[in-house]
Amino acid sequence: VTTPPFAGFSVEERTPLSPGERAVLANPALRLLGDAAAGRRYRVHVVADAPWPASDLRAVPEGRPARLEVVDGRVRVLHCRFLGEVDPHARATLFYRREPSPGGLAIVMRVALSCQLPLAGSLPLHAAGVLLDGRGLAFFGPSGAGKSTLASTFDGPVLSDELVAVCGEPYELSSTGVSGSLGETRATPGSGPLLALVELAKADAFSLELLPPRVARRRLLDVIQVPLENRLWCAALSALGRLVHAVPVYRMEWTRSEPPWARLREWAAGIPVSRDDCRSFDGVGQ
Amino acid sequence: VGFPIQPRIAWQVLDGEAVLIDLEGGRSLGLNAAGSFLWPRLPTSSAAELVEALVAEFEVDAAVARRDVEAFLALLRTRGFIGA
Repeated sequence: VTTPPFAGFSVEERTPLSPGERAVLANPALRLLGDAAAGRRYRVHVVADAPWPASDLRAVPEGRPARLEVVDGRVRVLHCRFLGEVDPHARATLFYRREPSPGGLAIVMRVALSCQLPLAGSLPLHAAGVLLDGRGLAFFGPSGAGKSTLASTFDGPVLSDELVAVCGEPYELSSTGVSGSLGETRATPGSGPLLALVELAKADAFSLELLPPRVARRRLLDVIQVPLENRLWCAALSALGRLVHAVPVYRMEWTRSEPPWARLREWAAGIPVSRDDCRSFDGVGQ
Repeated sequence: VGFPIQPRIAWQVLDGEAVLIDLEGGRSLGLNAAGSFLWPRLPTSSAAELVEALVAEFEVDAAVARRDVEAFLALLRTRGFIGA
């Protein structure tokens, strides 16, 4: 059975998707799996039989997070309740589960997105993303730097506090449908022209410092969310090399008692607008 | 002839700096100027050719270049980044 196409990909159901799983695939950010320029769709296969020996389903004990394995350029997602195999070069993902598993499918599709983006010259970043007056700002930093805290204080669209996609060129900041402690209800699907990437550090006072490309590259390396496969990382490094020359990267010190949005609005107002409005995902999906 | 880079290493030279990702540990590494110059030449160059290229590029004494190349290759072998 092949379902009608989703945005950018099609689904072959050898076993029917549950409503919950169908909702996962309706994530508008999955349009990024497709290659609109070349007219190529991504394919998702939901299979009825375990693609590997059944023992693989026991490879990860109950209650443990999914584990990734790279096999011949493909990325396998192993969990006691589901298996996924992402083949970024064939633009296809296989999903198997013993019983409907929206959470499992969400994890596998996140891996699929993280594999496909670098091959398209884009990057998945562990970062919080917002649209400030329609333009994208991505905030990254080590755990505890305040990504989710900062995003929670923003009064506009928050794309994610966990994972964003930087797509170019021209560069855009896009939601991925993945959110962290902020929760899905606060996350807004959409994208906007990328204004800047900002490394966060907590301090006693606000400051904003432009980082040289080489320093920016080193800092961003730590937040690229790409499975450890050779060709994917070669592509990711190339994308990173282009990104740091095309988009400014700042280090921002801030204090929780004084959210920086007024200052950032003032700062952003001084930067020419290349594209007026953020794009929404209206009209895409099944 | 050369020193094949192991598949566990993903790399690119960005702005003159060789950036390496060790896929077995997920760690990244940036090489210095001499290392970045030598790195892409490893698969197709002998040790003598690497020394020669280093002398030509950095105008260093051949003995110093030989010592540096040997140390560099030893380090890469120790870390399992290259074969041969």
